[in-house]
Amino acid sequence: MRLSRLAILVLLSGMADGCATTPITVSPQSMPLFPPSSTAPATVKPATFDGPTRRMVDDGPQCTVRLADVRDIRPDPNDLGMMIGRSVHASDSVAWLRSALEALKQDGRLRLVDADAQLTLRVELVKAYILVQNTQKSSNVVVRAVYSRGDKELDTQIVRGRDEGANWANGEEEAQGSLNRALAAAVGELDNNIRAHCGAPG
Amino acid sequence: MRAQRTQLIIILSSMLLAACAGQIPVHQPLSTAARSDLEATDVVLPIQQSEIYVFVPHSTAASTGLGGGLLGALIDTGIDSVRTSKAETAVTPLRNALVDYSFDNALQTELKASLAQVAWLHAGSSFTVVRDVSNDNLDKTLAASRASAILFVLADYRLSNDGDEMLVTLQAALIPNNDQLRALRAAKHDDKIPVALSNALYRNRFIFEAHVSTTGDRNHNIAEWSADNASAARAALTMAARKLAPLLIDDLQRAESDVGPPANAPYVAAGLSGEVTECGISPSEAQCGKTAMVLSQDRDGEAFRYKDGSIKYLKIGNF
Repeated sequence: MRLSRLAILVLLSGMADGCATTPITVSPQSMPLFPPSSTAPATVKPATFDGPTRRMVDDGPQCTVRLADVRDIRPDPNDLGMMIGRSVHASDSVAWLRSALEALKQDGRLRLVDADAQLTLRVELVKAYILVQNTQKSSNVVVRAVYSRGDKELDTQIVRGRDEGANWANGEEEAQGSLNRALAAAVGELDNNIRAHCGAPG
Repeated sequence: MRAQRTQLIIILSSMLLAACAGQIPVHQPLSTAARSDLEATDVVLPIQQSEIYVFVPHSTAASTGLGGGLLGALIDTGIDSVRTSKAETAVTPLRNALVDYSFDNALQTELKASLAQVAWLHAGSSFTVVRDVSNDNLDKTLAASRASAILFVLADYRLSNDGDEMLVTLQAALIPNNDQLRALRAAKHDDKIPVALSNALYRNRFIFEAHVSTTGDRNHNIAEWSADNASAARAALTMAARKLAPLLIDDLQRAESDVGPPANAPYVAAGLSGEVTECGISPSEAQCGKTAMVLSQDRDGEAFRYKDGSIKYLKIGNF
């Protein structure tokens, strides 16, 4: 019974902290591989944002895409939810989103340009948060994409990325990792949608 | 039981003001003295969540079955993981359908309209929603306010584990912000955490409960909430704000001796709600009670007042 209690306390070490409220700040770029072993503030090392998980839609010609605007339209732009009494914030949510969108450059089917593109894209961050229930954390990132060609608006689409997993230590790197994975999943979905719009009549 | 308690501590710590405080009565009526000393009241709505979620009960099966131990706890964590993943997948269509809907705005609108009717509260035009519901942040919010008190209305909205029940919870707490009002706190108060519930000059818990036709099938139930651009979920959430705001206002104006219905009040069965796992630590009767006094009725449902003074509006019928 004592071991069980210990295990729960370790797994839910946010509680062992006695309702610790140290805020978590998510860096614009990071992809930790392992959860930290304690609740002590983790050192977030800069790393390259992994590219989206892509499914190849087709192998057609390259599509030129202009990223006209990237915005966070939420009422509290840098808010990223909470993990057991710890608020999670982005130091710069637009930079965080932009860093994930950079991964689109890794898609050989697309070529990001500054002007004269086949497709113009405006991207808005609609939801981005982490929440904890029981021993689990889950992250959601919702992105709205507005597609246009020339002056003509073609379509608006919403994509969502999710990530779930055990909340081991209620730590900063866990939060960042989970939110990054959710964002990467959303961008991966966006990637395919962009490609589909490239070929759409307009 | 221990694991259940742990889970509830977690939920409350992320939901309620100063969750680490000891248990205190759910309902604290506002005294006449405090009412007359209120010169200005700010209204703050701590709403942690950005979207609806499905309540997932914490697994204790393995811990219990294996007689405790690390292995059991790890197995339970695995069970939690599967349950959470399934719940998140199930609720995603509803979230997508509600992506343009703001419960925050609905609650703000209704509270503004209702609180404006209570002249002595002197509620200003500032109705702030905050996502950071940590005590630290709420303490800072209180310290930054120039009002004599802040009415915190902490809100939570979710679906039950099987997805048939929409449950909206409001925890209201009027926290003093000057020495005159602080002197009116209960004898057992918290000097370390200004926003502790035990410091509230007034507090109570309000529940709104609505159902779709119960099938026991989560995916089917959530599909009902999600159908027609989530019309049922939108209606339920908007109705929750519309029904609970006036109940809060009425409750704020109760006599200071009116802690709860008298023992000889005509109690009726009113225990539809309350997933068992939610009824461990610091629940209100409105969440877990079996009987209550009928407070009011209208064409949409009934309001009940429970022995501890907490209040529930039960929507009757489907949307």
